[in-house]
Amino acid sequence: MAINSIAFWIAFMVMLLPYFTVLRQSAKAQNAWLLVMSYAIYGYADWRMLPLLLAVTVFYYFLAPAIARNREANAKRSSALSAIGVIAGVGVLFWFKYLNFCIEQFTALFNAIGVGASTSTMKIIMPVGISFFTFKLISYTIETRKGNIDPERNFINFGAYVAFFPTIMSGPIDRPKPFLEQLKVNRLANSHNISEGAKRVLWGFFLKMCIANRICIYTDSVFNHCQFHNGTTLVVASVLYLIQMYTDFSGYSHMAVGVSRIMGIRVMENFQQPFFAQNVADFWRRWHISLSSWLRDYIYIPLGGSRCSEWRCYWNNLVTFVICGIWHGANWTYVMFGTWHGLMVIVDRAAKPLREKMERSFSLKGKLVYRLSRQAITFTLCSFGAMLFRANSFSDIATIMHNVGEGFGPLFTAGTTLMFSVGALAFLVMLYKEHRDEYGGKALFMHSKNRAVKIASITLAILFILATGELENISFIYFQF
Amino acid sequence: MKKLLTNIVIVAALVITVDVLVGVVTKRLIHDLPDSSVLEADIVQAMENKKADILILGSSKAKHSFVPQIFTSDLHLSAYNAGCDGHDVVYASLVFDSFLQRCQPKIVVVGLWNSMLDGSWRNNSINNCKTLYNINESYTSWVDKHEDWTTRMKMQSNIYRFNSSLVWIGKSYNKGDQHSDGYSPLYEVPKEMSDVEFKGFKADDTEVNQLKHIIAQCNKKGIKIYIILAPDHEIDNAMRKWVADFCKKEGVWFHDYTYEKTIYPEITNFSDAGHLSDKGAQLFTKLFIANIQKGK
Repeated sequence: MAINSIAFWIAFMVMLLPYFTVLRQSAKAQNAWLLVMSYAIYGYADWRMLPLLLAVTVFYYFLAPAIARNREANAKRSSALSAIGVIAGVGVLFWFKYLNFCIEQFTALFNAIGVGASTSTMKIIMPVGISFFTFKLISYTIETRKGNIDPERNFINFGAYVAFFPTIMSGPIDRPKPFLEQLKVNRLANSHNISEGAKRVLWGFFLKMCIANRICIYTDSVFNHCQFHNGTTLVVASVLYLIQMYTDFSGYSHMAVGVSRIMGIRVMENFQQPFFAQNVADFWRRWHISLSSWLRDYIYIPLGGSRCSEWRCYWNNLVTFVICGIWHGANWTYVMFGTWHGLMVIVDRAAKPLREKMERSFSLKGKLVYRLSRQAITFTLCSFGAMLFRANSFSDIATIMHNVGEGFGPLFTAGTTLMFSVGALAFLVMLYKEHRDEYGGKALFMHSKNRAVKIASITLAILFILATGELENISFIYFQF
Repeated sequence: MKKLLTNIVIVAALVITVDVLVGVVTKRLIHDLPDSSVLEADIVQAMENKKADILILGSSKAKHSFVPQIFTSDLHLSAYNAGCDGHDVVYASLVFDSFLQRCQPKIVVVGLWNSMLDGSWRNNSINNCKTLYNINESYTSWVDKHEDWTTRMKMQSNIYRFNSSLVWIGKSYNKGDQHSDGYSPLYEVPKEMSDVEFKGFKADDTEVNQLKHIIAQCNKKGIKIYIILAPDHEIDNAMRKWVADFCKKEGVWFHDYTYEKTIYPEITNFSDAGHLSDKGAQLFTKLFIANIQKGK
C-alpha cells in the first residue's frame, strides 16, 4: 500500500483512532496495534511477502540475546553469532534481489567465452522494501554486538521496529536505539506533533505530485527512447532526473517522517538540502542520509575509514560507493552509479590541498560566486550520476554518451510546455524553501505565527497540488529497492 | 488540540468551497467548448456534441487514415472521425454509446491496432475523459461499474477531475471556433522507411468484450459495421491473425489493408511507420469507399 494512495490514508485514519483513544494509556497496546497495522499495510499489496518478514524478525529476535549473552564471556562466539546475523541479512538480500541477475551474468559470461551454458532463472518475487528492512536488521545485530544496545526483549516492540509501516517500503533506515526507546512510552495525541507531521506530509505530496511526477513524464519518454534524442535533450533530461530523484525520494521521506510524527514517533531525517552541497562527499552527507550514514558506520569505518594511508582511504571510499550502487539493485547501471560517485569523492579528496591553496591565495572562501560555482559543479557531477542511475541498461549509457558526443540540437519538449512551467514554478518554491532551511530565515507561510497566513498557505498548497499536480499513482522510484 | 481541530475545519471548508466553485466554472467551460485540435477537446466533442451518419472509431491510425470530407462527397453522408491518439476499444465503445444517445449513425468504421486491444492504453481512456464524469452518461456508468473504489472516490472531487484541464480548456478557447470533422492530416514525409515488427500480442478480455458490444449494438440497430486494419509499416502478425479470426467468428466485414499494394510500397503515403500522410489518407479513404461500394 503506497503512502500516496487513498487506501493508505484510510488505513492510517483507522489506525489512529484506537491508537489515540482506547489504547493511549498503554505503550504495549499501542505497539501491538502498530505491529498489526504494519503487517496489514505491508501485506495489502501481496500477502506472500509476510512470511519472510515474520521469519527474519523471529530469527533476529532470538539471535540478538545470544550475541549479547556472549559479549563479555565469550567474545569470539558473540562475533561469530553477529557474523551469522550479517551473513543471513546479506544472504536474504542476495537470494531475493541478486540471484537471478548473477545467474544471467554467469550464463552470458560462459557463452561469451565459448562455454555453452543455458540456465533458467527462478521466479523469485522481490519483497517490497527488502533492502531497507534487511539493513535495519544488520544494523541491529552489529549494534548489539558492539554493546551499544541491549537486545529488545519484547517481541512486539521488535516486530514493530522492523515492520514500522511508514518506513518499511522506502526508509528511512532507522537505527534501533532511538526508535526502540520511543516505543517504551505511550504516545498521546499532541496537537504540535499532528500539525507539524501533517505539514511534512503536505510538503511531501507537493514535491512528489507537483515536481517529481511532472518531470517523470518527460524523463521517462526521453530515457526509454534515448536513441532518438540529441545531446541537448539528454543533458536536460539528466539534470531533470536528478531533481526528479530528489523530489520523489525526499517527498516520500517527508511523508514517512510526517506520518510517524503524527503518531508521536520521530524517525531519522533522510535529506538535508543536497543541492546546496559543495562537493560530492558533502552531497552524500545530505542525500539519503540514513543509507549513507549506515554505509559509513558499517562499511567505510570498519574498512579503516580515513584514518589510514591516502591510497587505502581512496580504496575504502570506492568500495563503499560501489556497495552503495549495488544496494540499489541488480543492474550494472547501479554499479556504475556507485563507482562514479566513489571516483568523484576520491578526486575531490585528492584535489583538496590544491583547492585549499587556491582558496587561500585568492581569498575565495566565503565568496558567493565561489560557493555557487562549487554547488553548480557538484550538481552537474551528480546529474551525470543520475543519468547512470536512470539509464535502462549499460548499452543505453553508451547510446546516451554517443548522442551527447554527436552534438546538440533542438530540445524535445513533448508538447508539455505549459504544465512543465507549472512544475518549474513548484521547483522554484522548493528551492526557496530549501534556501531558507539551509541559510536560515524567519518562519513563513505554513510555519508563520500568524494564524490566517498559516491557514491560507496550507489551503493554497492543497489546492495547488490538487489543481496542478500529476495525481495518478506514479510509483516512488525507491519502491523498487 | 481545539485550535488544531478548528484550523482543520477551516482548511477543509475552504478546500470544499473552492472545489464546488471549480466544478461550476469548469462545467460551464466544458459545455461551451469550441471545436479545436487539442486532444482533450476533441474527446469532449466526440463524447458530447458531434453527430454524423458515418462514425469512424479507433486510435491515431484511424484518425490519420480516414478523411470524412471524401465520405461526404462520395457517399453523400456526413462523417465524423472520432479516432483518438493512444486510446483503446473501451474509449471507442464509450464514444459509440454516447453517439447513439444523440443520433443513429448508418455506418460505423472501426480501425484496430494491437495497443487498442491488449489493454495497455486503458488508463489513457479513463484519465483523459475524467472531466466528463457526471457529465457524460456512458463514461460515468463505465467508471462506476468498472473502476476501483479509489478512482470512484477521487472522481467525486471537481478539482481532481479538472486537474490540469485549465491548460487544454484555455488552449481550445484560444484556438477559436474552427469546425472539425475529427480528421487530422499529416504532411511530413519520411526520407526512408522500414517495417517495425511487434510480437507477443495478447488480446485483453475487457477490450474484446467492448468490441463485441459495439458489434452487437450495430447488429441490433441495423448499423453497418466495417472493421479494418489500415496500411501500415508497423507489423503485428499475431494481432492481424487474431482480428481476422475474431471478425470471421463474429460474422463482421473485415479487411486487412496492412500491405495494400496501392499504398504500402510508396513512402510518400506515410508520415511515419505507423501513420498515413494526408496523401496516403486520401488514397486510402477513396479505396475503402470503393471497396464497400463493391461489397468487397
